[in-house]
Amino acid sequence: MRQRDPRLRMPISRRQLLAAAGGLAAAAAAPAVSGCTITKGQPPIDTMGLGKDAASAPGGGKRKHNITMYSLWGSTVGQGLVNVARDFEKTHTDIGVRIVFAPTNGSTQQKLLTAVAGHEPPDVAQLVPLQTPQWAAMGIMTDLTPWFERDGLSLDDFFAPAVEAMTYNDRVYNLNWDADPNFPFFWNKKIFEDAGLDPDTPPKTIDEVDEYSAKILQRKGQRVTRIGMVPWDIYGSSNSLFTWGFAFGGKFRKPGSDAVTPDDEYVVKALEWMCDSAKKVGGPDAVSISPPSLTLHPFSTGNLAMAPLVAPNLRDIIDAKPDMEIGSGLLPYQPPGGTHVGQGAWIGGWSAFIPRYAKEPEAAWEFIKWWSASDEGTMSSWKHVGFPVSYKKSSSLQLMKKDPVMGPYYDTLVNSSNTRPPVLVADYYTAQLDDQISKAVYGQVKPLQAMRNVKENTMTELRRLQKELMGR
Amino acid sequence: MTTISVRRPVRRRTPLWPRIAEKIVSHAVLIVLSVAFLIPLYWMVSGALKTTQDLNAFPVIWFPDTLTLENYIYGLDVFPFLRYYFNTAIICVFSMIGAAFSSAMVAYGISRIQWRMRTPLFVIILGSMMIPFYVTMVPLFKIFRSLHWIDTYLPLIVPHFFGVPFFVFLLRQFFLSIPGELSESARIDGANEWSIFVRVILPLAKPALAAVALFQFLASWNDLLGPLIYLSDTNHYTVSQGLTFFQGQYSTQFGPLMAASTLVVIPVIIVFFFAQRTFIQGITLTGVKG
Amino acid sequence: MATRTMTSATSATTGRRRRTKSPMRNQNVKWGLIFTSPAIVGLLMFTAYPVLMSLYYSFTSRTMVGDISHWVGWQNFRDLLHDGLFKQSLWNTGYIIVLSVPIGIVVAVFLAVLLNLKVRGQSVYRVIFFLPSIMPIVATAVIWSYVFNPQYGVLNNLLGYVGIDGPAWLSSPDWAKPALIILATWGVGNLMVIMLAGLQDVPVELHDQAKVDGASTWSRFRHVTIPFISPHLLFALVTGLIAGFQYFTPVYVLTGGTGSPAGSTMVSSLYLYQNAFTFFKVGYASAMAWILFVITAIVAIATFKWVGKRVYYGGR
Repeated sequence: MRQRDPRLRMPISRRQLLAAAGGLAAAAAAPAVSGCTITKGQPPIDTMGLGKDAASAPGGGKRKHNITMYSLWGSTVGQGLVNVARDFEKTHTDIGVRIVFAPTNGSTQQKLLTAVAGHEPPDVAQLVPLQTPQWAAMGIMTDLTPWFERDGLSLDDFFAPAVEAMTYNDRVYNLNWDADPNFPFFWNKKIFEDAGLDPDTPPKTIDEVDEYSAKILQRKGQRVTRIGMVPWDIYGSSNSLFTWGFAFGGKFRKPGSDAVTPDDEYVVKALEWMCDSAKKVGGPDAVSISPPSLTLHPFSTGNLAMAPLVAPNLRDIIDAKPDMEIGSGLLPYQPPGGTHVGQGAWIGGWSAFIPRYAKEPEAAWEFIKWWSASDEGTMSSWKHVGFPVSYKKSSSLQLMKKDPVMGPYYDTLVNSSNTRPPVLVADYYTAQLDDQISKAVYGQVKPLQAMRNVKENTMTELRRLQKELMGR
Repeated sequence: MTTISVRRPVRRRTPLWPRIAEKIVSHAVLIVLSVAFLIPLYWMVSGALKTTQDLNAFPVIWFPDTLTLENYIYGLDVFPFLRYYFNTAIICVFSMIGAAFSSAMVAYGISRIQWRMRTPLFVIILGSMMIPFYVTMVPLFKIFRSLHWIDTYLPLIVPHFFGVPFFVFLLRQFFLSIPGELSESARIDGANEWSIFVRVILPLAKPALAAVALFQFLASWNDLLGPLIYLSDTNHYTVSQGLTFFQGQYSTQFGPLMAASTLVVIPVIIVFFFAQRTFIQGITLTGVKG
Repeated sequence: MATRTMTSATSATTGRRRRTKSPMRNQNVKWGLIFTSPAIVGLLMFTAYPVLMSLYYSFTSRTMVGDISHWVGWQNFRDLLHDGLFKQSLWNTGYIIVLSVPIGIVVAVFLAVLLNLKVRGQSVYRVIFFLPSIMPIVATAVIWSYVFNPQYGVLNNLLGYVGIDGPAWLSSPDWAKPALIILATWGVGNLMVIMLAGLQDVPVELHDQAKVDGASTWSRFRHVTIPFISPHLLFALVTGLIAGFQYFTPVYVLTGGTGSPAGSTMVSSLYLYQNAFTFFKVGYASAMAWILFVITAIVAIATFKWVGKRVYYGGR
């Protein structure tokens, strides 16, 4: 039996059409019928249209010099950078800045690396401070020292930890524009009260943290429903160990060299404490306190008593939960290796560099210099993006000190002396740490052994790379 | 083996109860499965309509009292929808046409024509699918750069006109199921391979071709890596890139992201809904003679 | 005339080929080349150079930006054999493939058969099942992170209703991979559509004849349906295996690409990506890619040999 040629049929039968229309009407009417209200609502923040006008420089890219910069961020930060570029263009009329939105694939700058490897890079790009030695050694970054000296800049104008990451082998390779102080210490005053603790006295040492946590801990069956602190997950495994390792007084590399020391006595002690904290509550999988949407940090749930927080997260929490009373101070430390509160803090953030093969390096330098090392540039960055700057002479620092949200970050910023180890194989080192720390926290390997594994693998890779660079 | 005679036996009426039971069971199963498949989607749609407060509330609010359009307003402001729809549509339509046509050609060549090189060629084509893309990405980028195709849509469209291995494989399987007699009788009638391809095989493979077109459309619509690497002008971005605008440094703007995602998904749903018939119903391949 | 002989069905399985005469053969070669010319040109233009380069790189110590590169022979491959993380990544990949591919095929076929019945609202159901595979990955990742949330997530809530205390899914080394497999199964819409298209080729008359002969539903499925969709089952199997070895994006967006928790989600392509784009060890990553290629090829060939033999092609 031959079937009717389907081409003669309507793509959709009338019956289907009626059914679909009915369904849509029902769906539209349902909210009204069920009694919920529909509001037009106010858009939450400034909506200047990141996608719509980010790209073009005024004058349609027809200025004398036009540079491209890769921005890694969407949302408010991305929009902020667009505004920073606009401010730059107002005072530098011969340079146009085009911001290209190039989000990271996870934590890898996919687009940038492909572009550089393919010899089509932007004029300005970003990197994380600890990547400096490797990227410089690989020839990804242009040496900025000639311009730096020519324009009379001095490394003393920047905070010391930032300087450590801006230079390699005594040459300047990038300028730091975001000196992320990681971290101040925050606590939920109400939980303290509930647990019988003084809401205005935070723990000063790690031992005190443990005492407080013991009083705060609450469970429901197997699950932990309220916990003092989650030390093994402060924005990733390796970042957690860096923070507590520094707080215990540990060192992650031999000063002035590329040799790594994850098996440093105090680093291992810090890891042991992290693993014990997890074991005490029944393992990391017993703790589930993250909020339903991914917009807020678990601290917002009111079930996490103490946490180090980054500024954007803190800001969001304050906006979303204005009734929460949050105490702020410096990170606890652990004697005998640690000697003072706040010792655990390290400067992270982002730096701007000029990739090799960039077409307009001079103009790019003008932009970077203005952005990171001038009062107007750093003020613009502070105003639009809101990140702390590392340029000591910036008047934004005074604003930061008085800012209700950023105040704690100011203290951490000016007192900080650590940065994550900028060794030649920093990314490899960090990845090894992530892997082994996670395994240790889940009880698959002992802390000391884990750190020994990291050291062995990293040193092997270091030696290999050093041989490579010296031409074998 | 016996030949079935033309007169088919009268269909015996099967008893009523088993038929009703079968219908109830199949409906029940379908409904249960649908709910399971729909839950994440419901989360997307409801998330798009929730206020920021409700999004962050816990215990989780399944049916919010207040619906809001603020996520859509914000999302549409950040994300130039119409322009990105248009951009993506251009890429999709051309890729679709190229992929369907060229893959059909190549599949025909390795399945309906008897020649020695057809199996080695199939093996090579299949092999090219097995190499992880990330290692060939940079050399490929260099090729496109030397052609001056960077920051255009060409790297995203042109390669599809040379046969897409996945579709070549898919169509090969379909073509192999078409009885050889159909081709033979056309050959005997004096037709050359090209007209057999166009007049005999393609019409019979319409369901498969429609599926190929649909898949390519989807692949291009949701592709993120390609546009990310090759495009730099924000005005030329695609819808999938637009969605990344909502990812900040430490958090994602959940509400607006869900709103934008629903807008991104709707055209595809519409296309699929109307295109279903084309590739589900088709002329039965076997059972037609002459 | 709507006659159909069973004889043609059986002779098809023996696949006899007719001997062609010499001029015919030349004609065939000519037409073969014409039809496959797009693929040949495409392979030469876009595939050959990158593939050959990556093969060359695998014997060097090349880094991302490329100026530093030395010939190292088989050293990369030797290092890979001793690389614990690489071995773990192979195990993780294998685990996911062995579970998700068969489950995916079974679910896809099941759904396709279900949708092929004459049920009311067929087209709506098809859209519902197909929807997951068309959602943008950015949104999917965010939604499923929520679904798998140990405390508030949908999955554990549902399990709670039946009295099961759900695991920590993506936070648990033992349950992270099963979570990924569940996510993969949710996205079988693509495969379902292909199977559905394939089911249209199953001759209704054979089913009716079998019903008349008194065959049970399962028996009909096994002896009528499966042979006719076997080419597509083979397709699903082979492409599923190939895709499994390159499984990347969902893992990356759901777990951040560090293999957490405890390295349980470090799959091969993720480790490869990390080596190429984070450590810049392009030579090493290329060697890894070629090892993966060889493994994939072996698995694909084995599949063609074992399963391919039993595939029934209606046309031959």
